[in-house]
Amino acid sequence: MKELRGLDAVKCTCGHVNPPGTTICESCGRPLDEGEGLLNMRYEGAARRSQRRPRSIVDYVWRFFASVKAAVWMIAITLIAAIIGTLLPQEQFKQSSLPAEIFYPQTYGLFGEIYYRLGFHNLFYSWWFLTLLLMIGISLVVCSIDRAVPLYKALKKKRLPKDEGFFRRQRLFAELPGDESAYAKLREALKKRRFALTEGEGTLLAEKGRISRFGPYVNHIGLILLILAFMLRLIPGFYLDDYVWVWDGETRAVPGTDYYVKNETFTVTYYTEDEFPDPSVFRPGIVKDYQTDLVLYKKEGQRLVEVARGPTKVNRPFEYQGLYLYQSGEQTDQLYGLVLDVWDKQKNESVGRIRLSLYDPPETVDVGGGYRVNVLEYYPDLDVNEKGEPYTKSTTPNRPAFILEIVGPGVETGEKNWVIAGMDSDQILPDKRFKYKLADLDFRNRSGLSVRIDRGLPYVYGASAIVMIGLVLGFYWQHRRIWLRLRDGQLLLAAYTNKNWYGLKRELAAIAHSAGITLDMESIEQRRKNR
Amino acid sequence: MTDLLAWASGALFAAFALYAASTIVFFIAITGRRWRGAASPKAHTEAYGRRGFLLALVGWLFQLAFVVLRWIGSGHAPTSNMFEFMSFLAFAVVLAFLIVYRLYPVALLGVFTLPVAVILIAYASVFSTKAAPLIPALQSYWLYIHVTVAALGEGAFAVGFAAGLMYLILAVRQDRRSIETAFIEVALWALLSLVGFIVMSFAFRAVGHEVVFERVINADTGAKETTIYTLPALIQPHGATKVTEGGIPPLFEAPEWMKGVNAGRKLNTFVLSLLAGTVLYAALRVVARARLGAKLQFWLKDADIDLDLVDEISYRAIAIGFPIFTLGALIFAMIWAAEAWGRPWGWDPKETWALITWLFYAVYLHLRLSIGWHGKKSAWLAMLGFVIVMTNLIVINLVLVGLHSYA
Ligand code: HEM
Repeated sequence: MKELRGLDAVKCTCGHVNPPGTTICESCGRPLDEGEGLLNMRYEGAARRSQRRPRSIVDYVWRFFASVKAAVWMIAITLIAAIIGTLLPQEQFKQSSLPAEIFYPQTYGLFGEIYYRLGFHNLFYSWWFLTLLLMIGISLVVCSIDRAVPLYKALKKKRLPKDEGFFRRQRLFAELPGDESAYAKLREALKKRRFALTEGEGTLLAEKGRISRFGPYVNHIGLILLILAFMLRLIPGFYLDDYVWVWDGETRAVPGTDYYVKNETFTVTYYTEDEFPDPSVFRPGIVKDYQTDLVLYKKEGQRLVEVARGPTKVNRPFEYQGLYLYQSGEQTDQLYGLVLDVWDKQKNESVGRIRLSLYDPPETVDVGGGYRVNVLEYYPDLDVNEKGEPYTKSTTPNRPAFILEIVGPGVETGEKNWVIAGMDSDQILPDKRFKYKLADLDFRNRSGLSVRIDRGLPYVYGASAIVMIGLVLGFYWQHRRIWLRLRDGQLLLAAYTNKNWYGLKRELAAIAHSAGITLDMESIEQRRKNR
Repeated sequence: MTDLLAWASGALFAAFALYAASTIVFFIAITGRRWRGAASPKAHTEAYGRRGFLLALVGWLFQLAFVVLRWIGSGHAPTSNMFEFMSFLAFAVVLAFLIVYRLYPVALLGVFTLPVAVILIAYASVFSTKAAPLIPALQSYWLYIHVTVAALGEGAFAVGFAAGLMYLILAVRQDRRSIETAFIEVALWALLSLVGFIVMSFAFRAVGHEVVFERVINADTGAKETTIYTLPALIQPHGATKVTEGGIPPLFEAPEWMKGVNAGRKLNTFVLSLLAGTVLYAALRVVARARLGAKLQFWLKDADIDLDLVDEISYRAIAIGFPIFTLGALIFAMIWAAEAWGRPWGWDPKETWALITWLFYAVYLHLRLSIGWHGKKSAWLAMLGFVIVMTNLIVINLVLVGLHSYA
């Protein structure tokens, strides 16, 4: 599309002086070029900054970002990159404990290797993808400023063209024999259809749905705000994304906050047969719901103070002052702890039972009968090094072992003993007075909670609402203008819209019809090339 | 409950039949212009166009009944599995058609759009039609709103696609071979593959064909996974052995990286469908003794319709769909994701493809409104856009593993 570019102001024969770059006289509507083709009505032929000849680096940058072509390229590159980004699972979804540099080549061969090297495994958080999004953002800002202002000015000044050339070079144009009464009837018909009428200089302008023209700009502003809203999470304290596993009955620190959460009970419910809409496909064991009843505490000094309690379920998160806990993981009937019988070999009787968690063992347990057991050491995954010293290989309880000390009547100074899972403590240290017999295993459920704070979310929704308003204005309203001028027994009729020409043609024919004029829908469209 | 579900199935079948009938009536509205001596061609098209529209409308009301009955009967919005979703998409396509037809009463549009709905319902019926209760992740009003609104937008895109195809069939010169004619043939072949898939599925289901494969998924425990093929097994799952006795042994094995649920079976289905499409295409081509595009163009020449109008219809349908799609597939999706997973956006493959779709249509609109791409270029893009939509609905579900792969 060739545009007029000039440095000089353009003076029209009507005497009006137009800013440089103008293609249609602002005052009388006379086309300022010598062509015969249809007028380019976009932005009403008004001048835009990006069309002036660039003089400085700023002008060049401005011109780049103001170009829809450049914007389309950026969007297209983003789109293609995103497609490539879904060909293999992203790092966060790879469901493997292997590090990325091994996982991709090992699982996907050479393609995986290249994919990883080019950084596609973590595309959506890579600097270049984010740069692309940012550039689109800048483009949105520049595009909008570049066009919205001149468009606003041009549309606000309701154009009442006197020049015949303006009429003749519109895409929809008709020249009809007519007189004052035909003019009045058309005027009436337009009014009935709720067009806004402006008259002057012998020309009638009927306009409808102008707001639609601002739709794209509202939409683009919404998109800019949306990008900004997502960027809010870079501000410390605005965003938190963490995870915590909590056993039934256990209290844990909520990572990233000064709260503690207690899992009172975690329950899984299953569908029953009569809850199935079609009993013929009933199978037992289909989960209906996961729910954790939890209590939230805040630490004050050394004490935990309850601040809230309630359930969290899938799709119904627990919320307290912007802190969200989501039900997002479950492990049922996992080995949680050991139940030990503390046996007095001298009296040959049991002193009592103790429960030892394999995840969070207590420091001391009251056994009863005046005895207590202190947990001196805990090795979740016991092994022995070269020097013969015990150590733990990991924090996972694969081979849990305890060093316990019992204190009480007869053992006032305490008696130490080993308890190693799978071994009889009597065999390790047979001379001790007490031994620990495995009485039971403590199986429990464990609930996985996502911990989220996202203070930017309302802004994301707000910006989305603006985007929607812009889109609805832009697409479900339509800007239509019809110009009418009576001259020497001829009615000049021209119409312009920025889209849906067929609809406008139909409307024109209908308007003419209700004014008693026959207008052939097809013949009013001029098929000359847009210049 | 079961009564309602049975009534719902009946209503869906009625809708299906009415859509098929409507397609035929619209076709007659175009092709019957000459052989019906009495009325003027224009009056003939108008009269049959009205009947076609009426049939489509009644069919849509039946499908509305299906949606309502199924919703009450199953206790949730009928968009929770592949059968429900695909038939809902057909519902959306017809709704978009009815709206666009009110704006642009062009009989030819019915010839191209209603078959899309017919194929979608048939495709939907290939999957299990049983109503099951929802797993916890799907129990959310936001989910219903998100999926239904997104589908309504996609329905409008489908109309844009149909009008784009129609434009190309009418506009591309068929008197010589070109890249464009080749692409049209590819598009028709792809459509025939879908038809082939549906026909095969019903045929083999009718005779009760079944091949069972087993594979060890955990070497330590020896746990096994079985896969049942209801279509002939050409490609077996990776590392599996055939359990069913007899029959033809599979020719290939699925590649190792295809990890999705039942990936091997899906690949097998895909390849078989392309084969069936090829057979159908070849047969039709032999009968027509011309490129199918050329034959269609020849038949539809009679429609005598303004190409610019078709171009505008395709654009208009997309323009109607775009805000709805934005609302449903992006904004409501973000709200639901924030509710269910605690994040509005997480780059899950399905989400990413919704964004890709959206960006693609944004490119389409910019190219059209700001750069001035009209006509064939615009029509090709309208078609490509719907291919992206269907990629997201079918390929992503079937091939990739993600949070959304429920079918
Ligand atoms: C992904 C982001 C974008 C989306 C979804 C989007 C959406 C839209 C839509 C829907 C329209 C058409 C509205 C109508 O005419 O009724 C439009 C128009 C337009 N867009 Fe964008 N846009 C995006 C990015 C951009 C960017 C980065 C630029 C900057 C160069 C831009 C510049 C324009 C222009 C100049 C128009 C035409 C306005 C007019 O004709 O008055 N868009 N945009």
